[in-house]
Amino acid sequence: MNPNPSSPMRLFALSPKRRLPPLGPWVQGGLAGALIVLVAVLLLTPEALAAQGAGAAQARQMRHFWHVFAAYAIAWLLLFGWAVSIARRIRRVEEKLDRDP
Amino acid sequence: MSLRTVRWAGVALGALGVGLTLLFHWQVFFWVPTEASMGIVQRIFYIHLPGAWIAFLAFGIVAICSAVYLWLGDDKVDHAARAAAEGGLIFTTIVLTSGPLWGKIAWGTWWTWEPRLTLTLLLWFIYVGYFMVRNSTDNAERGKRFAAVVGIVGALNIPLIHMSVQWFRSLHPQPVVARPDGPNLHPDMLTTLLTALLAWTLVFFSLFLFRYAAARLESAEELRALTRASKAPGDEVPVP
Repeated sequence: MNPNPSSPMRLFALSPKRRLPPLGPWVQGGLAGALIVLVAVLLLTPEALAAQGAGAAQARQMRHFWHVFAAYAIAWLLLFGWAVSIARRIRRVEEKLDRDP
Repeated sequence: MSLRTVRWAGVALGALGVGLTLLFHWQVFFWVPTEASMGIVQRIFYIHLPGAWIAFLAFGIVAICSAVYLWLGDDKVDHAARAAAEGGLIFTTIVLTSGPLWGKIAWGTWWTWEPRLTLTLLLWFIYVGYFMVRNSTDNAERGKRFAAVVGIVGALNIPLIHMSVQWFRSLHPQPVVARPDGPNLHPDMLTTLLTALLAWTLVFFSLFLFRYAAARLESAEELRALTRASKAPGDEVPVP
């Protein structure tokens, strides 16, 4: 990128050596990894919780596990969706800058 | 703050936030004791309460940045307000979905029109309106100013939501942490809650910084396109 000194983009210009990696993969990659681990944890949880106790009361409580699962899954889908939308915005602008410096 | 600093701060906060999030999920599902009367559904508490706190924090940022924008007219502050409003809307949605999933078990109903729930839903609609107002006019500057007013007015709802359980007859439980006589929670539950709060605060600020960086990049790109268009011979310069 070789910006015009009068261009506003000079604020963001970095030499090729100093150039930061694109942000999109940082955001998406990090959250995708976290999401996979969290889904694995949530899928393992019923057995882990069942191991903490036994009996009818425990069985009744376990029926409510799906409410907990749904609440956490929705929360993470929302956060992941927000991260993906941000990453796509950043990638779109960065591609524009690379294509049309 | 330079964009380079914003990026690295976002990466650092995000890495810390994701790490702490994994820790708090371990605490929630494998460590913290199960609440005696409600059972495991009470574990929704560890995302419900931090979600509400972060939503209030985000809308507080919107209100402050909106006031500064109306005063100084600095676009950077408007970018920050918009980024915080997006985050606030996401976290309010988390509160409004996790609450009914908990309430169905605890109260026997998904939803009831009691003061705190109704005011929280109103808060969500106000900030949906924030984005609608912003995009409702062809004049971008006017849209930003109108949205700033909505951002300030919307934040006035936050103290009402907090106090509603004390001022009105409410089905929603009284505060268990922010109480004059100290938190009323098992120490392990309090530790888990504070870890969750810290983790999601870091995740919020990380995504907030990335969203702010995206808005600044987009704004600079638009300005560059205008500059190029004005230099091209025979082209009309678009009026912002």
